[in-house]
Amino acid sequence: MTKLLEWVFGVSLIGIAWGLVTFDLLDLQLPPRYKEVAWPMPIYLLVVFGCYSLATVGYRVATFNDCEDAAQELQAQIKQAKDDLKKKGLKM
Amino acid sequence: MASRRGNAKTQLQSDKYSVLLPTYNERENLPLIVWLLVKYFGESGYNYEIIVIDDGSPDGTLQIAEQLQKIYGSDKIILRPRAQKLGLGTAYIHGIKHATGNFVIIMDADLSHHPKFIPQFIEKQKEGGYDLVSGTRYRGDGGVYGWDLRRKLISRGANFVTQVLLRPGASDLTGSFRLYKKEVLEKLVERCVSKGYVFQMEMIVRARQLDCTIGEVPISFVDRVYGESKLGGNEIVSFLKGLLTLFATT
Repeated sequence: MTKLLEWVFGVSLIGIAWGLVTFDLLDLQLPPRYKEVAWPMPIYLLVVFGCYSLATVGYRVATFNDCEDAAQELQAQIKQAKDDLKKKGLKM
Repeated sequence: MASRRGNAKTQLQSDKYSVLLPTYNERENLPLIVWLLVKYFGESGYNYEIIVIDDGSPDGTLQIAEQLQKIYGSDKIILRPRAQKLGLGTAYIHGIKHATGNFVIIMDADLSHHPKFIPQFIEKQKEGGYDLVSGTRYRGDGGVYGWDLRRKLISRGANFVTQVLLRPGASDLTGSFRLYKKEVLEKLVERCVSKGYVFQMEMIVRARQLDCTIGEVPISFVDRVYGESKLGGNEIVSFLKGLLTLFATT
């Protein structure tokens, strides 16, 4: 199954469950509390996901390692390499 | 550490590592990357070869490569140039055809990938018997140098979207510093259809489909060329198009 189909399947399952509870499609006679909670769930979940996404990406950007040492080490090694190669006869 | 190095040198070394270096206008960087590769492979004792795949660079990259061949030997530096700039995927295919190693390392020739990580890739691969080992900028002490906030935001944002949509089981999908078992690389390249960043992503996705095992090693990515973020709108759009294609087809 492609990822797209997995998502369609998953969203459909959740959608059906939500529809069943919110609109009482199976005539389950659920207590009204269930309907009250289920009805805003899709929006609620989207908002939660949105916040989670922002927080996660924000955190990851903030903690993205800056490799200062690596850059300096590279600069030093470039010098070393150029000197060594010149000695070995490379014409750059 | 010393005994491990000793073992690597003295044990019957049937493992050989072929480094594929596709180049285009890398006259300045090629000698430096080769020097670093020779240094770290030499110190670690692993058997290797460097295959330079130059796509008809007008700046004389091939001539520099020929000089390097004279200095380091034609068993270590192998030239397989092509007449013009063709894709990365075909460069890999072309390189693999001439690779005598049983492992292939792919990396950028512009010094953003540092050969010092290669022994770590090799050890990681031996540790878990992985089909491929991927360098990651997003885990452990991996990271980047030379990126501004905008670039970091785009990178992390794109990676997040990719993780949510594809759930690929690897933290860095657009990275191109990897070690593959040769036959795994061959299998994957022939199945991949995308270009650019998405090609590297597709390789990982296809690897997952084929139940390949993937190991990760944190790497530092030193961005000297694109320091001021040449990641424009076009590239972002084509990345998203490629991502959605992978989402819908794999």
